[in-house]
Amino acid sequence: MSLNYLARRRLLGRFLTIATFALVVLNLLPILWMVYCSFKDNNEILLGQVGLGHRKAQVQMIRETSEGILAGSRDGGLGLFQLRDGKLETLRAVNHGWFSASFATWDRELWALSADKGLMELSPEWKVTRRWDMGDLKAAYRRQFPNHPWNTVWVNDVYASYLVAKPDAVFGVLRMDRGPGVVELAKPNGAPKFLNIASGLPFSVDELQDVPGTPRILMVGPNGLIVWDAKAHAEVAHWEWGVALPWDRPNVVRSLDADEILFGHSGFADIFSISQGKIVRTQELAKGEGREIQSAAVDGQTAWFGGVGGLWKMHAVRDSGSDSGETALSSSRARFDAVALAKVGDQVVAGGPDGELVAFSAGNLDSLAAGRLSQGRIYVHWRNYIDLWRNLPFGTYLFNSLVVCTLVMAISMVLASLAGYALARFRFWGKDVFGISILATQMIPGIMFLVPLYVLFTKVSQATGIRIVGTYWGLVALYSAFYVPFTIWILRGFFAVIPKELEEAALVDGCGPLRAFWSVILPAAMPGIVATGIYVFLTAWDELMFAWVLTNESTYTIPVGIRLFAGNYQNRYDLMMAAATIATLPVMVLFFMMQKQIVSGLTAGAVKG
Amino acid sequence: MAHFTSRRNRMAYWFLAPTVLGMAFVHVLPIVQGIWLSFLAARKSNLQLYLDAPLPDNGLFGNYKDVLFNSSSALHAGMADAVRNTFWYALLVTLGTSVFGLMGALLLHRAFRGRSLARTLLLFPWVVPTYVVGLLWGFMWQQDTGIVNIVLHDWLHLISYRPVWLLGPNTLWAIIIPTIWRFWPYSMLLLLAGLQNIPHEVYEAADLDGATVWQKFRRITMPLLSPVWSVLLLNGLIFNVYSFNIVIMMFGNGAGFPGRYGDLLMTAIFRNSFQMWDFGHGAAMSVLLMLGMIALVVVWYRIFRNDLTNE
Repeated sequence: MSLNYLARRRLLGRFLTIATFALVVLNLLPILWMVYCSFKDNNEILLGQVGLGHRKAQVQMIRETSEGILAGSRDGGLGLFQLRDGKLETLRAVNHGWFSASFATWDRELWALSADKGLMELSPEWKVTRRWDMGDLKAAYRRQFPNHPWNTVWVNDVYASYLVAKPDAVFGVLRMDRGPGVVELAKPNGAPKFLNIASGLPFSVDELQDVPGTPRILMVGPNGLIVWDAKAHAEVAHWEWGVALPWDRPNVVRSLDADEILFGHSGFADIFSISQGKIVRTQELAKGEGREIQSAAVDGQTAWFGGVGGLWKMHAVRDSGSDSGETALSSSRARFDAVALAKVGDQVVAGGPDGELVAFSAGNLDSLAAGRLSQGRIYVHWRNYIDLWRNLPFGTYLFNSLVVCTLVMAISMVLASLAGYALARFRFWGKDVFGISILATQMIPGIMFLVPLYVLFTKVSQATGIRIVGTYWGLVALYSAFYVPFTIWILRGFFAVIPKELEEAALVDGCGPLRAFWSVILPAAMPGIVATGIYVFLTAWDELMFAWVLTNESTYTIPVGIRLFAGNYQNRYDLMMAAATIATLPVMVLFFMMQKQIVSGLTAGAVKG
Repeated sequence: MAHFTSRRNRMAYWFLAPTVLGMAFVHVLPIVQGIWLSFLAARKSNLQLYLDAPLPDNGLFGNYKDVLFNSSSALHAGMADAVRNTFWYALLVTLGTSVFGLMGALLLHRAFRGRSLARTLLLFPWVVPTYVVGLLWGFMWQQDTGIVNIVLHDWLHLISYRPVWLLGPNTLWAIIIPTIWRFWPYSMLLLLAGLQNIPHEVYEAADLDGATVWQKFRRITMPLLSPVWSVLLLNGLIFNVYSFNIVIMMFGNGAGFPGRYGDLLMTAIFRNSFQMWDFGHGAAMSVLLMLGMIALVVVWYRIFRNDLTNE
């Protein structure tokens, strides 16, 4: 019976311990989620991809090489495939885990551009041999345009999305809200140079397409199309959408040959001829099925288009005499979103949004084989923190908060020690009134002080010329005076429990009262003072309302900085969580180090009233 | 025993002088001005006049009338919403932190391996700055990208739709739950200290009398904790009625309106004063809030007077 009771007790104890730790985990989840999201990619957060699973990355490039079919994906995945026995066999695969990568080939060279790593040349083994990181590109940009902005929020806003390699140079797009455009890297000397409106382009450009076999590149932007000669470093011609070209920007732009460009829209496509500086529509390809064209491959008279839900083929009937709508159209039966497309031998190889590759027969679009690029790793990185630091003077905020909170802690502890000691040990007229009034201050809403103080401060500044709003000392003085009352109340308890005999002994030994306070009482009350001081620090760190109204750009504390930042970047949850983590970290560390003192001090103060 | 001389006692004034001076500037002067301001039609356009600003159109107590009785005024409706929300918010948060705090304290008031680690980790939310709590939970409550809906809807299938948390009546829960999460460790800490102050002998005596676990809890633990409850209740009252950061950061990322169901008194007053720049009405609302608060504290004092004097 007794054994049974003991066993039951032990079982209950174990159950309660497990329950305690379950509560611990549950309780920590929001903090862990905050830290986890601060390392995540914002697009994944917005898509609700919360798990630790692989990041899906779309196929960006498919090329026929002498070794086989080369494909690259947005996350820096590269694969070499061979069509054999009805399968796309992987010969070689690697995943670099880059962000928003794009690839280009020239002869046997392989180039890559990514938003986080910059521009890279890869060896035949797909190792990075040369690299120009974002810092190098930014330095080049600054040299070229000393007075132009390089929008510092580059990650996620940079679509390093198109890359074209030519014999002497590589061209890539660095797309940002404002600032950079096309980066041109001359191969012989490796010097980056930027082509954008500031350097003479007629409009901004965010897409590049090669014109194979010629020195030309097609530059496409929201406003129009530029034909650029890479060898002559000059524009050949440009047209604007809706002016020379009768439509809005097409979904895909491909060059058919040196003089012909294919535009793919939703459901139909056009061929334009650009001889002699004019652009003339020569052909309209059949109305498709109203489908959004997302990719295209061209081979002579035939064009293959890929889009949501499939693949289809159109023959261009190159007879300018007939207004030929009669183009053959056939579509694949496979449900497949083709975001990249290339003609490889007798096949058309399509790449999908998840890194999958499917080879179709070029003739009747039967799907022949499927393969997959190696998937990226979990994308966890420091980038958000770096980005945050670049965007915001976060170091300044942190410094301001540290300065203000430390000063407030020091000043209010000095004042409150004196007053708390007086309240605990002296008998004097007005003691009760003082005690009640410091408690009463806690009943008054802070906002009640805010309006008068704000007005008072501006008035004083107008009258005397001394600035208070926006200075450290204004905030420090205010906080100190604010936190002194409750600090006195807590410290009074600590002074009250120090034995009177200690002090009396000191007085008997001939110390003055100040000396006794300094060398006997203060050391005895030190643990309580330290705990209360930390509490004051934490409280000051947490103060938003007064800091909001009484600071300016140079004295913003962390809460104000975070509030402003959160208001400006509504959807950048990754950066917000990084900011939140940084704001939490100092106090968390402080708490962790001083835990014992805080706990004992606070409970002593509160339980003993 | 040495006597404290009156000369020595006079030193107390020197010790208090800096504090009294500071409080005179930061507490007394502003509060007098604030009460004065609450009778004036003070707004941004006549900020220069400040205390010489004209009276409201509807008389000396015009601001108060607007806030309290003028049912056609938006302020009145806003104030009513804010009072209702603040009442439920303060009540439920205090209740929630007490219940969770007691639960945590009882769980920790046993000897087991890893106890101090568990205590440290349980205290962590209390260190997270409140503006971070608002930002973090505002992100967690998002309808499509928030982890709350992902867990409840996608993973556990507890609900068949994705609720909107930051709009409509759900808002109140969206601000209550984070606040409980932030503050319950503090309650736990105090209750744990209170539990540890209860002498063992009391329980042993009860055991001898054959008391059940429930009886011991009901008749010994709860009454002996009442000084702690008094502190927790007062803190809960003051902290929650004056809660600002969590709510202001959760909506519109620090600039938005929490809506009819999430607006608290502090956010309402702040918006009136610093976004609509209507200082007079804001001050009137503050004075009313302060009076209400003093009344509550008096009630609190009468209830817990015995516990306080026993100390």
